[in-house]
Amino acid sequence: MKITDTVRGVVRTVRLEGRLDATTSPEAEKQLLALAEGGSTRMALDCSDLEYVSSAGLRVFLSLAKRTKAAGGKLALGAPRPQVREIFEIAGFSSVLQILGTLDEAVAACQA
Amino acid sequence: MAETLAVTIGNDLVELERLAAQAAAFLEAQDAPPKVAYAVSLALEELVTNTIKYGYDDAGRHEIEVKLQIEPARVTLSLADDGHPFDPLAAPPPDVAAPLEERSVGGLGLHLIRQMAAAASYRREGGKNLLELRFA
Repeated sequence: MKITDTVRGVVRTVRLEGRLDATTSPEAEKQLLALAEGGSTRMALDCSDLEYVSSAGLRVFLSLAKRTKAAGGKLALGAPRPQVREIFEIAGFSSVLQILGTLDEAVAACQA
Repeated sequence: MAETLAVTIGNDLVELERLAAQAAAFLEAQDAPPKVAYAVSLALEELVTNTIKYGYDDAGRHEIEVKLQIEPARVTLSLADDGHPFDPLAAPPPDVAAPLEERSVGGLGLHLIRQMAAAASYRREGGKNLLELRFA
């Protein structure tokens, strides 16, 4: 799982590339929470190259969402692949996470 | 005509990783639809990780048998382990409507698999947990 980030105005966009499974999730969670703690209260996640998410991966998103909410920030996911989107839906995450079709929409959601 | 991958691994997460790669390569070689390949990979990860982490009361080596059968309109994943009795199909579902603060991932893995499998069956026989999942 490769995590890269950049800044778009007041929003930090974070690109997730690869898999969020039992092996890669703990480290990914550490990196994402560190970004959130570093003052990035508005974070848009680019999920276009996120190939696979398991329940371990879902834990990462949940953790980040809770942290963001507690800090009064914004978190939005953009452009998840169909398979990953389905996982979010089955897990009922669409009601607790903002999931948008494109990264631009996710960034816009974080600016609101 | 079915193509079969039958592997026995030890209760070791490193061996599971190797098996996951083997299964993914097998599914690709057999041209399994992406949706099915994803579901099988997920089932392997969730179920076998659970077994390795929570299935045994001792620290010894145990074997987990995995069989993946691919037919034109059906893919079947069969798992057998000699851990303590556990029916993953009977585990209570998580609350997928709870507000964010109350959400946890407990039970989500099994929930995902139950939703993604076309059919599933469990039985306890010969001191083993036998699970069969079918994906269409």
